[in-house]
Amino acid sequence: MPHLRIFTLLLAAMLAFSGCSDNSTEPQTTDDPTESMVLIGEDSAQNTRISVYAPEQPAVGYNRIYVRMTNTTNNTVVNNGSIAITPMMNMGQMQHSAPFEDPAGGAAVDGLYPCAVNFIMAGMWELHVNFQNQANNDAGEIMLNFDVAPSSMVKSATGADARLYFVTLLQPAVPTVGLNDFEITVHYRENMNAFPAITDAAVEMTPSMPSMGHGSPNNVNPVHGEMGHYRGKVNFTMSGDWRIDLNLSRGDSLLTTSFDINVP
Amino acid sequence: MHMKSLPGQLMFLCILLAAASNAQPSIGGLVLNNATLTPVAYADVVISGTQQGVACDSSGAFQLCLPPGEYQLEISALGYQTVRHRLTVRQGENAPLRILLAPAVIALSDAVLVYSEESPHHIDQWLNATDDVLQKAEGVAMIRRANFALEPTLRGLNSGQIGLVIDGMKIFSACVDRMDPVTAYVEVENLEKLEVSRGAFDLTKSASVGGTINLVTRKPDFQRPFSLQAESGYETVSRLRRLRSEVNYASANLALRGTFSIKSAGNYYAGNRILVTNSGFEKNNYKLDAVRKFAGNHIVEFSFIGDNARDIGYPVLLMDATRTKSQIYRLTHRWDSPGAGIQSLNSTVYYNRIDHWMDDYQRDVTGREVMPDMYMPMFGYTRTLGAIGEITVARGQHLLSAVLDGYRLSAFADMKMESIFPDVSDAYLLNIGDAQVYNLAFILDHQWMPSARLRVRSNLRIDHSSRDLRNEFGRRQLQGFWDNISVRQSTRIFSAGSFLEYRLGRHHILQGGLAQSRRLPTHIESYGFFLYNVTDGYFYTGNPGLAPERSRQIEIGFEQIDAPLRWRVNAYYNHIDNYISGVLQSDEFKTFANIRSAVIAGGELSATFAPGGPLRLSTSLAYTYGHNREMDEPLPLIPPLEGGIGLQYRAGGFWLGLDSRFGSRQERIASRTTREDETAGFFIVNFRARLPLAKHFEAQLGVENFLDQQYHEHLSINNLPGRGRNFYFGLSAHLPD
Repeated sequence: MPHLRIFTLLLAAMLAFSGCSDNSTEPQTTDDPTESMVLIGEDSAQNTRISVYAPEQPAVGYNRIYVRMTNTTNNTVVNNGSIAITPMMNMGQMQHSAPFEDPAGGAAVDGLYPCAVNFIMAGMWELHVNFQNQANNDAGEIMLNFDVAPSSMVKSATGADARLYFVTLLQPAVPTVGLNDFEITVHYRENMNAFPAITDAAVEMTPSMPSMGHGSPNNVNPVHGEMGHYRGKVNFTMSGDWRIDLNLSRGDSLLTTSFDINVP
Repeated sequence: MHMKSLPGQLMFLCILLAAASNAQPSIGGLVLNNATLTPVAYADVVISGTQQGVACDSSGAFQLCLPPGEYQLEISALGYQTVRHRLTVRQGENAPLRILLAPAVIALSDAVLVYSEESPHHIDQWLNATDDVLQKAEGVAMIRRANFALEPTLRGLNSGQIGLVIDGMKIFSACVDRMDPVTAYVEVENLEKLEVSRGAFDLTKSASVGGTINLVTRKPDFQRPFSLQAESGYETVSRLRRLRSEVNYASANLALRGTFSIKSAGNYYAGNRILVTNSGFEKNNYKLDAVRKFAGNHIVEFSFIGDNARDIGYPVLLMDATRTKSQIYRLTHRWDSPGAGIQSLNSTVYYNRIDHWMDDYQRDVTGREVMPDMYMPMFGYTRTLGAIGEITVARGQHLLSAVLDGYRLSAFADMKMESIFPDVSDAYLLNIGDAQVYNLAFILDHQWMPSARLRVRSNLRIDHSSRDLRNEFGRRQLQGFWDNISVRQSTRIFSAGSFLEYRLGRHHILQGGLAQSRRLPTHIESYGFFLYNVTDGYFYTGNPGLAPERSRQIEIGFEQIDAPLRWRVNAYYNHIDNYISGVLQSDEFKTFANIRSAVIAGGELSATFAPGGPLRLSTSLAYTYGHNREMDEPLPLIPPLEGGIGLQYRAGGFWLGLDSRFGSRQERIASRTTREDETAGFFIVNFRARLPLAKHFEAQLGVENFLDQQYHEHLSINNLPGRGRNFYFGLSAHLPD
């Protein structure tokens, strides 16, 4: 009898292990990264189709967008082309652009040219996409129209130098209790069509719960990385309504602004 | 005793008396060493509660002549543990007695006896509450946060630095604000005795740097086939009403005991009739015990304690405890060997669950200093499952106990924050994100008696502890503070101590001890989060990376025993490295950290004068010095010079007591690490009496703080005043007499 019991146990163990190896087989992944994105718009010119994707529907704030260039003559994706975008909001009498980032290095990654736009206002926006299709030596421009949803991720403030600044919150996009990555971008309005990044500001960040009158320790002030992106750490000690006060300076105090965040 | 040198004369007198009256039956016996079964020469045999007795001869034999009746004999001899033996003397011939004495063990703990039969002279059962008994123990001072469940400190150390156990069981407070010390769960009618071991010499019950307080509960009494007792009492200072009842049943092999008590108190008055609001409480407590004897010296005990309290006001804290619920289960098997070699085998399994709710809905939170405009309901629980196994072996001059003591603690606590403004969303945090602590200890307790004068007791203890936080939310909160330290920790610590006693003569003992011990951080020190400390106004956060505290200590003492005037004096020095303390982290936050070192030193003096008549005088004095070397300032919550004097008069069932407690001014304060201030001295006088009324009835009455002193003690948090003049009286009925 004891032998039978041991045998049964061994058999059960083997079955359990074989079960594990079956389960470890990963589901087939598709190579097309756009499957998990939304198509913002698409248009063709000069035998070239330009498709614009985004992880989600555009909203005020920092939006990553991905451009795919396809040669319509043979329906192949063009990876060695070049892309330049220009966001534009047409307000009748006047129009203005927004801070944006063209593909770093110019080339496509997995068939997509990564760009970004800081939409600074909700409403109908135009996105002009200039392309050069190396495959058929064509170049041209398409224009897409789409709606940008409102959000409170962008704060504008007039600096001590009387310029208008835009501070955009990127992280935490999904705030959690504990230590979170913190990331903002800082731009200013040079004119209606140019919003250069500020790369030399010192940022002091102070999270607090206004309803309680206390803050949190262990935060790391954001410092500049590249293209106007500043990264640090923010610590939320509990769930609830938090405010992050930001104090920017470039030698002298420049501006203060704040973001309200609900930590679930 | 002085009769010792006169065995022959007494035997002669006994024979003479027996011959003359022909009425006194004689009873003889033999006293033997239980390990070797050799005779113990010149042991004293005394009738309990009297000065009557005889001494054995050189071959361990004794003879007594007594009128028929029930007696308890106390048999004692130098180098042996005193044994009590009940007997019934009958007319005519009585069977000879065979008394086995076990070699004495150095008592590394003091006992404050309440309902214990060990010494009827020490019965403290007139006290109203367990806290009163604790306060009588030398070296113990109580932290007061409310008129409820004071928290004991031992020689200036508290919380995780000392062990606090019930019948050896680990029980952990569920309240992160320490509103529920485990002493609350043993009502005074269930307290047989307090075992207070000071210093790290007795490591059998906890790995601590300061000592252990063990609340030994009362068990069913096989000597009382049936008894019933009920008491009702009233205290004026808080309009406290109390009802207690106890029933005991015993047959030859089974004994049962049950108690139930209920208390209800309103706000109390401090001295000068100052009303302390938010200080009432309601509480009930029940305890059930069953003991079954089996053939072959096997005994199985089951014990259950249930304790429920509600609406407990905490005047000095931000909130009140609305409800507490505690359930404590224990199952023990004991086997006492009748022969030499293995002396006993004990094994216990236990489980306890403590739940604690508190909130500030009864407080005005508008615009208050801490967490304004917010209600903060909190909940916490602990669950502890443990087992203890112990084997005791005697061989030659050696007595060795080996103990295996393991437990698992699960602890959780959370807090909601509800704004009084509807547009502000609620906030939430975990004070303890489901901490799991596993601890397994192996202890060797060895006593060596190279001669009748010298005894050496040594303890060696190894603890292995592993701990973790299981709640992801809780982990993230803590990692916001300790990004680079794993919350999962595993540690092994070693502790060892040795204590020796040298008998200078029949009445004098010289004592000395050396110990090096470690204590692990508590689960709150490791994982606590956002704990508001009213003594310094900071929010505390645990530190998973804390190192164990490391103590080196030395103690010397001198004692006079077995004389009408008994006294003892001792002094100690305790150097603690890696002392765990709050360290400023940012404007509002402190974290637990190991600071360089701290020193605790002091001494105790106690004396009892019992000339043998109805009078007994006792006094005690304790001084504690604590210094934080890192901050170069005194440690917080260190009691000043404190003491007490008591005078008792007993005659028949009538009992009178006059006692006082006093403390000197405390000027040594921790002004940098806390908001402590200096505390004035105090002197409290209490008067107590117990008198039999009629058959089956007895009255208890007294007045505490007779002079109605308005005072607070140094360990009263935020200077919460002590209770003012309190008249109390109670009436008890008992069956049979």
